[in-house]
Amino acid sequence: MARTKDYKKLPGKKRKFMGFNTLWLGKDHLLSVDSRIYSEDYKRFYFKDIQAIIGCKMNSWKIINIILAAIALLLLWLSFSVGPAGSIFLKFMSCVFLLGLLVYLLWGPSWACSLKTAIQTENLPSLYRFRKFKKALRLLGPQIEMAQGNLAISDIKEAASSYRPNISRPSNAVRHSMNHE
Amino acid sequence: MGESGETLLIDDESSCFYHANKKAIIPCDACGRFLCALCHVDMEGKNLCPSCLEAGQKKNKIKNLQMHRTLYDSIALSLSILSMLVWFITFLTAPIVIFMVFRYWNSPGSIVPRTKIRFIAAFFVAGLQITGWVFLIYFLTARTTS
Repeated sequence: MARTKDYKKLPGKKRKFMGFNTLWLGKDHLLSVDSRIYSEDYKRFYFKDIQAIIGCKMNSWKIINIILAAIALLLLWLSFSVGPAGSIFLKFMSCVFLLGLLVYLLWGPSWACSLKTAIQTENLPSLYRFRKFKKALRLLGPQIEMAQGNLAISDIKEAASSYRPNISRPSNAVRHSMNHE
Repeated sequence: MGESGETLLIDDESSCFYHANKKAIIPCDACGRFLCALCHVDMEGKNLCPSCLEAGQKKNKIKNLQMHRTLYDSIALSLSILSMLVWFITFLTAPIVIFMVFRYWNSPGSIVPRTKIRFIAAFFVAGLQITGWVFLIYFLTARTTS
């Protein structure tokens, strides 16, 4: 009998020292797998419990791109002031860094993602690129909507317009002490 | 799960096994005990009582409660390959790897889909090591006798 696949892999795989993190889509939950060489640890987030999936653009992508470009340009500039053998080597190294820059640019912005439930906020390290985050959200969104129901845009706008932030005013005791000062 | 059980009002009604004054709403699919709304746990489409749930967790029978799994296929493959760095210990490790492959072939591996390729590779490498040892011993004995 063929074994049914209970889990479908979501895009993204964050490698770390001696392991990696991945996300899998189950029937009624999202499974976060922390794989080490000889074992796996699991965390389950049920679709009905997920309150928010928060994504945040990181500066590291921009910084690494600037560093790679600066090194490539520096090596190219140095290649004009050395002998022919050194020049070829430096130009080759400059090309290597430019290639690295190109690859890193194509990967897209680095991203930090976390998942919020009523009682916890967990990081999802596997969704560390914006593109992967978007792809994963495209697969995950309908499942959450199916479990929790769909909220129409008009309802969100209505809720936003009727929302009044509860700005706490200083209590009588505080006001009293302020007057005395 | 987690709802407060309805209080028993009539004597004819069945009560919960764990709470005598609460109305039973469902039997446990594993042990058959009557359960109230508070004790009833819906897990993987089955209605379970707290004790069966605990037993299932201890025996690793409920997949959704498992938090950790050991990957014996990776251990076997690593053992077969890394032992070649100190080649003479393969005399010991190769039979251990073969034993591990047979012992853990059907044991639950990763929860997420994963093939048996690591077990197959480990078996193949260990088999080669054992064959190598057989040839070496045969060659040495043939040489000494000649």
